[in-house]
Amino acid sequence: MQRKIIFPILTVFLLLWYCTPEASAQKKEVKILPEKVVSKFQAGALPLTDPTSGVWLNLPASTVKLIPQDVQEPKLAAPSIGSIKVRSINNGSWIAFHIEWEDATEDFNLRADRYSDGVSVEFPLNPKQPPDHRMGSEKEPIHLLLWKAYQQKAKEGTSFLALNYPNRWSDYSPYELPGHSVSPAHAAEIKGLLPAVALGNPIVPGTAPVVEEINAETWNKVTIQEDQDAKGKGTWKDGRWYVVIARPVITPDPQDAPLDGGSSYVAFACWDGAKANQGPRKMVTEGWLSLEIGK
Amino acid sequence: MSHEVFNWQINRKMTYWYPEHRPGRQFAGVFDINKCIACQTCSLACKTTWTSGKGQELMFWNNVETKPWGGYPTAWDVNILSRLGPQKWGADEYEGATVFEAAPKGERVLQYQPEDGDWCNVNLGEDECSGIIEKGTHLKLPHAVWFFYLQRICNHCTYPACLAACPRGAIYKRPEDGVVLIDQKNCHGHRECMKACPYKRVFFNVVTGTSEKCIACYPSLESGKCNRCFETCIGKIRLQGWISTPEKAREDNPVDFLVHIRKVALPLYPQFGTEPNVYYIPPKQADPVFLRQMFGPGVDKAIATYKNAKNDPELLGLLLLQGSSDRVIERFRVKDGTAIGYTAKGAEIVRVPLKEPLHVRPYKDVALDVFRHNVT
Ligand code: SF4
Ligand code: SF4
Repeated sequence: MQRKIIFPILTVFLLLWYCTPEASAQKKEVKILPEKVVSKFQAGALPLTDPTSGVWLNLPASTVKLIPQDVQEPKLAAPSIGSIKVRSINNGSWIAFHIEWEDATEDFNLRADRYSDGVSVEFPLNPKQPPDHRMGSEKEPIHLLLWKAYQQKAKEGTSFLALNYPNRWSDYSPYELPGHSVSPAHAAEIKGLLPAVALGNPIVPGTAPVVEEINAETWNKVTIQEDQDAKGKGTWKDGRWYVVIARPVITPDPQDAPLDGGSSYVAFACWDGAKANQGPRKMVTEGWLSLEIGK
Repeated sequence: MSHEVFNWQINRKMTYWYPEHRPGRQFAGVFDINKCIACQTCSLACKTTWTSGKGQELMFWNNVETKPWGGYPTAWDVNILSRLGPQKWGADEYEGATVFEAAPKGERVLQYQPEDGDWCNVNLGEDECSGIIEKGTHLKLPHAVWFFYLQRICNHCTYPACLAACPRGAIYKRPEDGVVLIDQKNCHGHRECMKACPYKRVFFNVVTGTSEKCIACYPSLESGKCNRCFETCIGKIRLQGWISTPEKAREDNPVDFLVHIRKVALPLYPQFGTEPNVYYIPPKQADPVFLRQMFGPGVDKAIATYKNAKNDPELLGLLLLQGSSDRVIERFRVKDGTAIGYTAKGAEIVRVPLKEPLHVRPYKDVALDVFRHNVT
């Protein structure tokens, strides 16, 4: 008799707990999609910094569907990039992903109200037990290779200050007079005026690599790797982005997702700057895609 | 995630992204709007101290704007208020929605993002009064046509909207003093904080790609000295200190006295729900309807108490201590016509007379046997 009462009470209690925000925050969703990305083996050098090369465009492509990120606030309210075309090759030492998508505007500007286009490739750190594909799960990190248009532009020499405010006046350090070289002691002082630079924030434009290697273990546990070995480049042409993101297949870095087994999983995320996509406001794959690395 | 927290400024529980966690003590300021002369010394003191670097050209962590028309960024208050929509204060508590409760699905905070140009006009609307002065208008309180200056820094809120919104967890509130900081090493420049802060006190640096904000001059704060904008204030309108929650208010704590005991200083837009920690003595010449929207239903009483200061030696004494030292006055006492400011440990910092002594020199200097003329 007692059991009969306790059981429904317990069920109701559990159900109620499950609906609380705490529960949903801990909820881990692992989804493996039936789609596959096959990385074809091709000996010799790969055109890692030429995304419009025929080497890429002649490869077979898989169309990967994207949906708005809708698990973690801030969510993406309106869908932006509906799908991407993915191609992949490897030469035994480097594995590269070529990602192509339609985007009417090339957004690379950095300003209070401007956001950058971008794309990322993600792998589970433990391919045997992949975590939530969007940002990893507690103690189950993912390895993320992030390409952002603004970081590439900065690396190529664009100053967003000069671009946005050509007539600006910066009241700046007297040690930095035009036509005079800056002594190392004064350089340190000048650096101190920009706290993010002084502290070595790895996202500072111009200092960040074009493709940034990141580990994520849930939404707010994100670390930028010490060893940055990824490469890549994006080109926007006639309303389309063509982006190459590449990493070594085998690395000694324990923070890198292992790919030497010949198979793993891969997921993608994409940002449309014109639609204010930034951070968690992004388009994501519905789950992990199987990754097969040809030898 | 949604947690239930208590916000004394709206006198009720509300929802917030994180659980209630008050700091050991909370940095606070009281600004007497009636005394500000809009000299902008505070704005420049801050600018030259903290934001003279590259990428900070449009930043004024402290600004002084003219109400009703001025605002930096342009129309920040109109923008957030119109998004929040008409809301209601009840007899004892705020019955409307806060920026956390009014957040649309999928968001942590009700928000808006100013355009870049909105940051380019720091003193737009300066000295513009509320309307046209009709022929024959004469002065009476409140004025038929009015304006006043609003001094703005980050409120180092108890429930910061900026902190709640940061997806990286790169914003933190210091447990030792309640100062809200953006970790410049970990900020990823997502600008969620900028969109979420209802007071628009977060700025974006295009050189570093990070968001930056007022740091409450924490190096001076840590040594018991006033922040730059407090210390340099020409009008002596600013009082810096520590605020307690109402039930722990101390009569001899200057901020507690003005906010909790005399209730003469009020938070700016308490209805936003962030529990801001800069308090304002409302301007007595302005339209009370406008002021009630800005500072809540306590405005009329606050102005009446302020106007009565001449009969209230403690209040008068404290208002005279305001801006009288570059050190933080943590305790005060008014005795025998003198107001005295102390450190928390009771060491005297400064004393001011409630009435300046009046000296009248006799017309004739007997020693020199000359008359004192004002003629050269
Ligand atoms: S005023 Fe804005 S920036 Fe300052 S703590 Fe409050 S929400 Fe954050
Ligand atoms: S220094 Fe004082 S008086 Fe001058 S504008 Fe600032 S707050 Fe007002």
